[in-house]
Amino acid sequence: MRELWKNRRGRTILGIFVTAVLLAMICLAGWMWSDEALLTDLSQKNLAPCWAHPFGTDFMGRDMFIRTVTGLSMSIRLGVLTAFASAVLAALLGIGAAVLGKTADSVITWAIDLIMGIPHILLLILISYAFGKGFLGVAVGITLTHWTSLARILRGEVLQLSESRYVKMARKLGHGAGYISRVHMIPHILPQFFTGLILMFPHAVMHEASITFLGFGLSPEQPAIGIILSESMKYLSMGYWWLSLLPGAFLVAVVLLFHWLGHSVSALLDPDSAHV
Amino acid sequence: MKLEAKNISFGYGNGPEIIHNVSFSLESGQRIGLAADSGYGKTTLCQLLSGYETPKKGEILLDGRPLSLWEKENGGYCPVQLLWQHPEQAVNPRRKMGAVIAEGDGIDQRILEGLGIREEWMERYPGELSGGELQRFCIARALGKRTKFLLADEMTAMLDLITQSEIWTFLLEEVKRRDLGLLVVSHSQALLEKVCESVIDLERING
Repeated sequence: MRELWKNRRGRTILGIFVTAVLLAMICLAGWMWSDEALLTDLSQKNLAPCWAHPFGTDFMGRDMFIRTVTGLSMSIRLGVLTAFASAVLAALLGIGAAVLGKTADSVITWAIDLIMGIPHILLLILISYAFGKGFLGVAVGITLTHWTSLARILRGEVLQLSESRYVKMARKLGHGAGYISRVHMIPHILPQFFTGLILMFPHAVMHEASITFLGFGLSPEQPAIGIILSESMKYLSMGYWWLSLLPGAFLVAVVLLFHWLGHSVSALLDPDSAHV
Repeated sequence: MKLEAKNISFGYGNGPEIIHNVSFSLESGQRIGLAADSGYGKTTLCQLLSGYETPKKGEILLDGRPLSLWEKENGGYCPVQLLWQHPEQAVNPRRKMGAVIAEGDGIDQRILEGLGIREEWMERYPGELSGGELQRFCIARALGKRTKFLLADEMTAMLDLITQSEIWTFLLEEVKRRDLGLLVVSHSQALLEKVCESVIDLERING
């Protein structure tokens, strides 16, 4: 432990580990509390934060701490699922565009431009609505709208690599496509892929919360962060600040944690900064 | 063996022809220099001769047979190897130097020693070596067992004089020992006169 703390690389690895454990704990706790999050106790309604209810209670006497953790847990699980699906889609289409020839490239590039050209939230709402809202709608919507920038990056990387002198040189030294993709391409693409994947989580989580808040996402009986926030809006003018402030702050904290995680992983894998 | 360019013409994309109806030949054991002004097409000619680019017209022959055929028979290994001017672009920044050397075709210990490559450099990444040190690795990598011709495109232009002379002394010995054909591209007339038997002016043969 002390050895790890000595240099920045060690500290970053430690930080990544702690962050990942923290996020996994939120995820797990929310999963186990999914029933408690719906428990109502009308004798305890609209309580300000206190020892028994650190985040207070809402108009039905539900514990806001448990609801917040459950909501975040749902967001994280949905975020991980959609970010992963989206990143895989990005890898397939991005690499496909680079290696499958000119026609495939122009079709995929056109699709990327098209999706990037439409306002993100609008497309997300349309797709989610078309798939009947709820979990499926949100999952499909986020997956189909978030792959574009990573696909563009991966396409560019593969194109640049296959034109690079060391790859050309390797071909002239008699190495085939298998060797080149294993030795030169994948080690270069994989870190980009993982960084892109992790940096997609915060986007996915934010968008899930946004469209749920707007009423096009998860259904109202689910304790999602977006639902919690939109319900709290009605009570904000009555002075029940804890209903929105604490869950909102926790959502931002989780998003920032994922963001930091992505940048740390990127710093570790990028050869320019890996030895610093 | 004889490396031959037969009436080749070439231009990038739909751009103008840079190389126009050039014929040229290089025999094993021969050391020829190639001179021309900047931007005239020296590097392009080298890339054509080593199979990185394909001529629009004419062909590149090795002992009378197309170079691409040799590559196929050799399991993809091209008997004509090109040394790039910028060694830092010719190695993968993510691979240690030992792996870079292993990519070549069974590089002899003698070559590594002759180029002054130290054992401890093998464990380093390209970013941890100087340009001169990197260029030694690139030269060693190109000197595999099946290499018959070597094209040195401004190979030592960015190195100091002492390093230049070390590298050239070794390379000339190696070329002689293995009876390799050598084409040297340089802006330095002094260098060309020192290492080559004859110097060709590209502007004269580019019709």
